[in-house]
Amino acid sequence: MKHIGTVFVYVFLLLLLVLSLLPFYLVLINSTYSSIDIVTKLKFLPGTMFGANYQKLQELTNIWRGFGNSLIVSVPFVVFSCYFGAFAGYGFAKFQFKGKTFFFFLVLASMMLPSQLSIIGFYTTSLKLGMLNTYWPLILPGIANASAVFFLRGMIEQSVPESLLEAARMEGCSELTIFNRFVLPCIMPGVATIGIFNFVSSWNNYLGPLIILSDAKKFTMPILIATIKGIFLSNYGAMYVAIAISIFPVVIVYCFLSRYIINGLTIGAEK
Amino acid sequence: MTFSRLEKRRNIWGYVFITPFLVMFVLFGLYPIIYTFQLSFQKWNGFSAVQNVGFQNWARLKDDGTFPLTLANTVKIWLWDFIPQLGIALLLSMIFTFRKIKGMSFFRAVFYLPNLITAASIGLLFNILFNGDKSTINQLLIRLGLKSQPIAFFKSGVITQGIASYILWWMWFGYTMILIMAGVTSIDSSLYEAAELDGCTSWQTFRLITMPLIRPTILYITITSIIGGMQIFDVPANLTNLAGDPQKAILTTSMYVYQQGFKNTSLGYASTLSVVQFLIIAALSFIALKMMRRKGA
Amino acid sequence: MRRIKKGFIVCIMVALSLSGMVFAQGSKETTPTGPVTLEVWARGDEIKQFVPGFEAENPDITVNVTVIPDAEMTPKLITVLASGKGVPDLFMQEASYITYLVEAGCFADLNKAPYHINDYRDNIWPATLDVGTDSTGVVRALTWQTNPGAIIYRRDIAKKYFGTDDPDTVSQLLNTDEKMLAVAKQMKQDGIHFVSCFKDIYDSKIAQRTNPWVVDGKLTIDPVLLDFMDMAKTILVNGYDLGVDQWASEWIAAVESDDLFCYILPPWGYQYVIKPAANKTIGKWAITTPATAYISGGSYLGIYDKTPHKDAAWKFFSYVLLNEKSLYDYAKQSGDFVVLKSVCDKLAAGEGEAVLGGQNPNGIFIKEMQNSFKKLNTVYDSQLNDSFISAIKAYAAGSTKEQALSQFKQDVKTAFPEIVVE
Repeated sequence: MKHIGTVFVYVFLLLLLVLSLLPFYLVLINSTYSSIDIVTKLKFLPGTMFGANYQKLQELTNIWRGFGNSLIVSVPFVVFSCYFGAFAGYGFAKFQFKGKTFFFFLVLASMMLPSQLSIIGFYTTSLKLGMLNTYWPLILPGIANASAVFFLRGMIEQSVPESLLEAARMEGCSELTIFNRFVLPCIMPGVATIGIFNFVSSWNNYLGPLIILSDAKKFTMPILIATIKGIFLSNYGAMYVAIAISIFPVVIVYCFLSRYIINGLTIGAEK
Repeated sequence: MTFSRLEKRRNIWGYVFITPFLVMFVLFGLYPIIYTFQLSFQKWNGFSAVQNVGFQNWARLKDDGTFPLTLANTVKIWLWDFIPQLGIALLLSMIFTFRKIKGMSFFRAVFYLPNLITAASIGLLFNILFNGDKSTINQLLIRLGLKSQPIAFFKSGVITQGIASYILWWMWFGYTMILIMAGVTSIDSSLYEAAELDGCTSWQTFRLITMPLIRPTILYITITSIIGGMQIFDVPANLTNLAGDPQKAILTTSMYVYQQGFKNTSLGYASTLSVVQFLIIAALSFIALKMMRRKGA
Repeated sequence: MRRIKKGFIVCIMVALSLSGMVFAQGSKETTPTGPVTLEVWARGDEIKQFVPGFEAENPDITVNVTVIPDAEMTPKLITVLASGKGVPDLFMQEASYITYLVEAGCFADLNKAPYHINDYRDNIWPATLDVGTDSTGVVRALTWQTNPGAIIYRRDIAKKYFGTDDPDTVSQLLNTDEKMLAVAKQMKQDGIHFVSCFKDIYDSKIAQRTNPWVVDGKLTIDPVLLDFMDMAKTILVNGYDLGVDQWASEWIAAVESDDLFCYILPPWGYQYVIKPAANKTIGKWAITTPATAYISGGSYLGIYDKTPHKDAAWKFFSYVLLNEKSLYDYAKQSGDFVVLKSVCDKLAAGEGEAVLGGQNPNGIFIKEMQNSFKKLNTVYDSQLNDSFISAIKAYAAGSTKEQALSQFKQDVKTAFPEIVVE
């Protein structure tokens, strides 16, 4: 009886495993065939057309530039959200000042506020600031990343002892030095966690760049992928290559980091 | 005396530390919201002058048959994603916590993987996998003997909605599972030992101990899922096209806002739609909160 | 600890320098003198074919072509036009979208100095010129293509069903809707699809209307379209077309399959679809004319009215559209039919196409263009056509005609509250 149950459980898990991985497998296989082959025969083993498809893709778009653009947006976003998230988190955790409760309420409120809903206002704000078609409106909001503030505030309260700060002050360190030298290193694991998640969300951001960026040379990966359907119309081979390029770097990085990512997620959930 | 004054002076630094956050929050968080609200009473096509039109946009909303349709689509797609997602995630977290599964961390890692992939890529991928009589999926179904005739997936609204829900489920069940597992493992193991001593079946243990204790986790998942789910954009927008074909079956509210704002260049009316969408999300979150609380009491 | 801090400083420096790159990119200004770089936003890659030749003739001008799909073009243009920054010097749209831009006034008047399109007017097909002309009669955009509708069909299948593959005879045999449907029914029994997509025929019907979509601010659904709904339903329900949208992979792949009889498309269809995809079907295709002459589609190009590079922009514009040599080379190579009459005459006198079994279709196209064509375009065309196509699909999928039409009217109302819908 118990055995049957176990077999059943494993069959169920394997089924989910296949469902999870099948799309990735199909991308890999289909990216190596010509469009005509893709719509005429079902393939399970890789073909030989990857190079030709890739060449066709590069003729009309520059997928690696999209990749680079995504990095130009995501890396500063992550650095800003981590640094300034800890910055504000430290302010909330270790200082007493007037209006603190109100300001912290703002943090909580902006965590709950869906940013997409003010997308038209976001567009007009960027227009008024002269920032349309630049990366600034996609990077600067990193400084006001509420979930980073909230998460790192908790982290600082928990793991930065008051005595450490006192000792540093005795030595005559300025508050900024204390933050950079003592507080930040204490919360590095938390910073890494929030960094990974903010990186993923910034990397995958679609609607923001869609309305802000209009010059195709500045398109980030998701926008480029979305326009590829319109550009290639019918060249499935090239489209599969584009999808593969957008997916597999993330998959490869995940292979190495999955344990940390899942642990980070678990810690985040327990908060 | 001197010490407390020193401390007071030091606390000024609190403002310094939160200032960058506040400035950017006002600029990119608060101001856009206020401006969206203001624009909902104006008419603007993006480049000519802004006109005040009072409640005209709101009156237009009354006759707009498409807006309720997009709300219904969004809710449908969300529900068909969320219910199986929660169910499977609960089941998996029970399996992983109460049974010794070989390769558990491998399974868990693979199930979470789809969550990291760009939704736009996934939308496009499923588009080309399903589109047409000779699509890869149709060929697969026929080869496996599950179907003798190809299915015109994107000609049926129900099927297309189903595919959208499936994609969202595929992307999110691993994430939900991990959150629930985190909730389950934080339960004091002595409670389970006691239950075992009392001779509880595993179903009873689940119902009487696990469920009540992970209620906050479920509440958190539900509310964030409502907030995210009511704004679905990336997947449906790339699954067929921005018009939500076939026959607007997967035209979600956020897609409709984008369409009105940037395709039809009615930025004012699009703002009105955003404000309504916001109120609906707030109301739904509130109801979810109330319902969960009541059950918990 | 120290290392972590150092790491952090490095991170910040990287971030700042990356942002610096962003900034540098954002604030790049073009210089008014010296070498000029023209930014062109194109809807496809075909315009790139003109660039090497143009740059060789004009070494001080560089042309940057960026491809943006039709559906994205208008939102992207609105964004740049709103901020006035980063607007391309020339941009392009498909015929059914171009009227919106032509009427929006962002394109330069092509007959004001330094532009002088009127010098070429006699040599340009009038119907092609009409599409890019605004309501006050000012020419603001033009395409290098000319687009009379044609039936591009398989010779071997024609022989089997008609006993001949002669273009004139085939044209006669397909000159009414009834004849087409009868042939389609017969072919379907052997598993052959008659036409690639019902949309092929829709495009011809759209051109046969008496009135444009909007007359005096009122929505007008032409009887031709109401009749076509039934024809389309017959096609869709019985599988007389391939069952996929135009430009789907399967739609292109059908060039090489043996289960499709014809595409009904203008010369661009031959150029983009049949010619590049044909391999084992080379020589098996032929072109003939449909019952009623119509024009459809085309990539219209215009010059941004505030471009700082007016002269360079006009040079490029006239090289692509009005230069006999470059147009001839382009048409010879691609198989397209073009905007200048003189070039068309030259093409008609030349050799035939291998894919068409040696047929030279240019004579047929020239004859087609002798017809007169109504100017029916409005700023709403692309969206209204999309909505109507969607209503047709709903009708074919089982709703009643009334339901489908009322859905269409509802869509028009929501998208354009200024249109009166009855």
